[in-house]
Amino acid sequence: MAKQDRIRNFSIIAHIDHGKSTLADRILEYTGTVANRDMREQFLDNMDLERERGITIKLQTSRLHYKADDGEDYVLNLIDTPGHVDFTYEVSRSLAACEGAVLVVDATQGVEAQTLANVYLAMNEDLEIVPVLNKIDLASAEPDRVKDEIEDLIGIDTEGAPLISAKEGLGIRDVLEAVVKHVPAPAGNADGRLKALIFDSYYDNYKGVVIYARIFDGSVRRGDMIRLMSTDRDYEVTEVGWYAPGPVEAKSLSAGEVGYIAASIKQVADARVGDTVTLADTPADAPLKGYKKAQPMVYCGIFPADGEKYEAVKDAIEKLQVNDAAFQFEPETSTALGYGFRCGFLGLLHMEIIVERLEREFDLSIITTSPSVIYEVYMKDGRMELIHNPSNLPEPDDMDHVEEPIVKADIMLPKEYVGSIMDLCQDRRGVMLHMEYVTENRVLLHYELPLNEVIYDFFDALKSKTRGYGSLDYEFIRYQQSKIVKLDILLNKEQVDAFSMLVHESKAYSRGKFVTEKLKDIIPRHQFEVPVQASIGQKVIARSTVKAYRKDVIAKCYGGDITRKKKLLEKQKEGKKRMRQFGSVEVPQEAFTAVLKYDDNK
Amino acid sequence: MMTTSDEKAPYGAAPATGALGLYIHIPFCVRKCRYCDYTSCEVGDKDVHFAYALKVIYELRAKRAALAGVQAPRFGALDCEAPVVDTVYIGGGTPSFIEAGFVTEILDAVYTTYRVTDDAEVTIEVNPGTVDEEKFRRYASSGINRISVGAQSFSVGSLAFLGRIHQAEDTVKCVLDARAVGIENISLDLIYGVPGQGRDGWEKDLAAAASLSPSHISIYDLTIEEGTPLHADYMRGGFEAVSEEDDRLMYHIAKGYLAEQGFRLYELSNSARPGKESRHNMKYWSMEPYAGFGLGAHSYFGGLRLSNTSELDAYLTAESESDMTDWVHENTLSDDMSEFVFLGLRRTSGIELSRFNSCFGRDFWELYGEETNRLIGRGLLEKSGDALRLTSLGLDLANSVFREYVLE
Repeated sequence: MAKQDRIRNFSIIAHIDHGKSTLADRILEYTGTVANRDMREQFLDNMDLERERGITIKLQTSRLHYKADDGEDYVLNLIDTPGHVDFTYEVSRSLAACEGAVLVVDATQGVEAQTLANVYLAMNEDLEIVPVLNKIDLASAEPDRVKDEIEDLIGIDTEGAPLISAKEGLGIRDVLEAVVKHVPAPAGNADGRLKALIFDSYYDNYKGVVIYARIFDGSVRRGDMIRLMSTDRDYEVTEVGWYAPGPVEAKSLSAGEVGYIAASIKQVADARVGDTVTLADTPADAPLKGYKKAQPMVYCGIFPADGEKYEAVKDAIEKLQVNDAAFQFEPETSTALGYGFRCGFLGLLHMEIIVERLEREFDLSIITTSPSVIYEVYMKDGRMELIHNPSNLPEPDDMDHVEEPIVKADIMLPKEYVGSIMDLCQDRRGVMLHMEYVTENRVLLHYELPLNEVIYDFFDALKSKTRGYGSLDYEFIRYQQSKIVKLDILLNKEQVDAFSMLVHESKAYSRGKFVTEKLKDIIPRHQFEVPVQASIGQKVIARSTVKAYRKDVIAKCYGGDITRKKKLLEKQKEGKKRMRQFGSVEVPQEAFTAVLKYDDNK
Repeated sequence: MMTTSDEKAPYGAAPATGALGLYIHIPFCVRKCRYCDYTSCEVGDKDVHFAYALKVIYELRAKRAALAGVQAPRFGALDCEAPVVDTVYIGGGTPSFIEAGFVTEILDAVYTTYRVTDDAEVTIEVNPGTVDEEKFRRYASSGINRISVGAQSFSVGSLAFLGRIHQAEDTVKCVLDARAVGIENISLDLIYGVPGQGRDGWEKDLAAAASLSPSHISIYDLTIEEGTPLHADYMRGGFEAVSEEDDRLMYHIAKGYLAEQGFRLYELSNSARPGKESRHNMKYWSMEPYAGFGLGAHSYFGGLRLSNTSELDAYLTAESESDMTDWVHENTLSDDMSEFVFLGLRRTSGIELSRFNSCFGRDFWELYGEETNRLIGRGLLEKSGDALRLTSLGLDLANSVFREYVLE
């Protein structure tokens, strides 16, 4: 058990790519927690996908030992936070487990949208913010300008802020000294009734669910009966300990400490982030504040592609869910795609990650359908239904009105792109709240946007139109009445339900046109003409035609060279195998994702 | 051409005659045509031609042992060491570009190395402007009894577009010269779908070709192959390609016109007067054995498909037969079955289903029933007695049919 006044609990917060994970790596290395030779780049990001994308999805935490300049030994608990808009709630719970946050700002880039978003989250939790300027080894670093930016925008003192290069390992000790000096030691009563905050959990095949927790009051040890306050369920603790970064079993965890608790819990969904752990026989009178059940915001259909087994997809989805309480699914049937699943995600990135993991970790071939938000459909008889599957939208005559989710979006970007991004937001039915100059050259736009406009391709469009310099953060604010219609796609006069989507009336035509044009290009020519139509109800609003081919023959077969010809036929046949048959029309599987992609030339 | 045989082939399709076809490639050209993507090169150096001919002769001898083993049993029974050959085809490139002496040397090697039947079909490809009566006389005296003339077109515009070196009158002279020395079996190649040619131009080309009374006419559509100067020109927007509709219209015009003139389309691109079908080319479509010699030449014998190297230097410096080989593929049973079908369907007579069953000991309908019925339903194939063949629409969309028979 560590002395409470020698403990420092902190997170690192940053905009994506500003060097959070690299700094975390260097800190582990510097404190000898991970030997240099064992160091994989970005130790805390342990999923391949995270490494590739340079973002943290599932957080990990580590207990470090540090002998400070004052001669004292400190225990530092570094709590890594997920780094994307979709995981705001998870970030806020991680921050709630800390007393301070190291704010990493790229000295070449300055403050970005997520820097601010994360700072606000940290401020909400009353954290001490320790600013650090990274990448000062780069020629384009402008530490003074960026310091001014931090002071102006965030209003925190940057006097003495460490100037570091995480990549080169420069200034790491300065960061640790600043943490020890500025971040307060945890308060809390070790003799009080147990109150511990769950800020993450994962499933382990042997131990069951392993909870990451911050102990605020009291203590916990093996054999204790714990109670999870949101569900009122009790479990016997089988092990407690901390990560360094591998698991180290401990006798107990007590107030101020951060560690793990295993109690044979079966599903991650039973030990939700934000919940409070207490003891069953001497429970705390009230849980810690801020518990929120993770709520999917975006839904899409996931179906086995041709030749893929339904059972294999089901197994994989179940496995992923055990570890991800925010990911939900239910069976869905499509006339076009057969048996599959309707899946709910926190946001688009979350969706992409799950889809990629299904494809890569589980080696599955799947088709995803248009993502949808959740609409509140008010019926004439007074009932309200939540609809996130276009096929379930009631008949227009039965509906009174539909409400759609609206988000508050903060977009930060260099000023030269303001015009084109304002156009983009306007095109996506955005309402500008206000605009502020962050610095002479950078602008922060505050918008209200319908979430259904954000989930298609908004982020890609933003990145493309700002050459990658634009950044986005958004949060749900309210539901709002809206004219939502169901847009159907017909191939050769037959509706393909997997292409249906719910869109705002004003966007139906442009969306319909985009999809029909895209499908015209992607559907191969057939022996007959294939009309591609977009319709609302019975009314066709856009159309295109895949022309019939009149010729498909190689006249020459020269000098007995059969092989070249055969290879060509085999290649063509291979291409056909990846097609999906709808009536008499063959559609390549890429078509389903292609109609969702942002197109610069549109 | 095909004889029904009660003998079951040991493996693959039984050869109809059991005799081999020989293909000899001469890659040299005066100038490479703009559309050409064959193995050919603009080499006029006689020393190179001579060295090449010697290599071909070497290869003819070197392959003999391997080929002796692939003769059908009934020939083996004659206890004849030299493989029996009943067609020889000298293609290019431009075989008529090199000195006649080199050609006759090569043919002499063929005759001394192989047992060429008395009635063998011996063809050489010639390009107008590279031959005269004297050259034909030499050819005829070395046993050549069939020529395939690269006429392509009789229009100044089309010939210029294609980058040919000759004019229409050269083609006429070429045919007359061949006849003068007694070569009566003459085939003409024509190209359609040339930009600017139009339906009228094509009809004139067909009429001009027919007026020369050949025994065989091949019609090829102009294909814009990647890597050719024609393709580069196309990509630069130098011309507009002929539409698929016009291309097919020209094809069917030709099919009708040639029929009126007494030519029967017996393969996708080949028509002939009755009995004058190219016996050599029929081997390709009937899974009969053939052996290729020279640069980039292909072979099919003994269950193997082989290709020679396409690098002239590599061929000329090869020290053994294996140095000349680019790759060898051992056909599996499913390779043979799908080739039997998709090559056989190139012939307008189609494939004989009972023959498929007897060759492979498998039931065609069991293997391919589903796809075949679908193709019949789509109007691309028709069944007539024991034969399965392309319909008129199927001729236009043949690849859509062939694809279905390529086994995974």
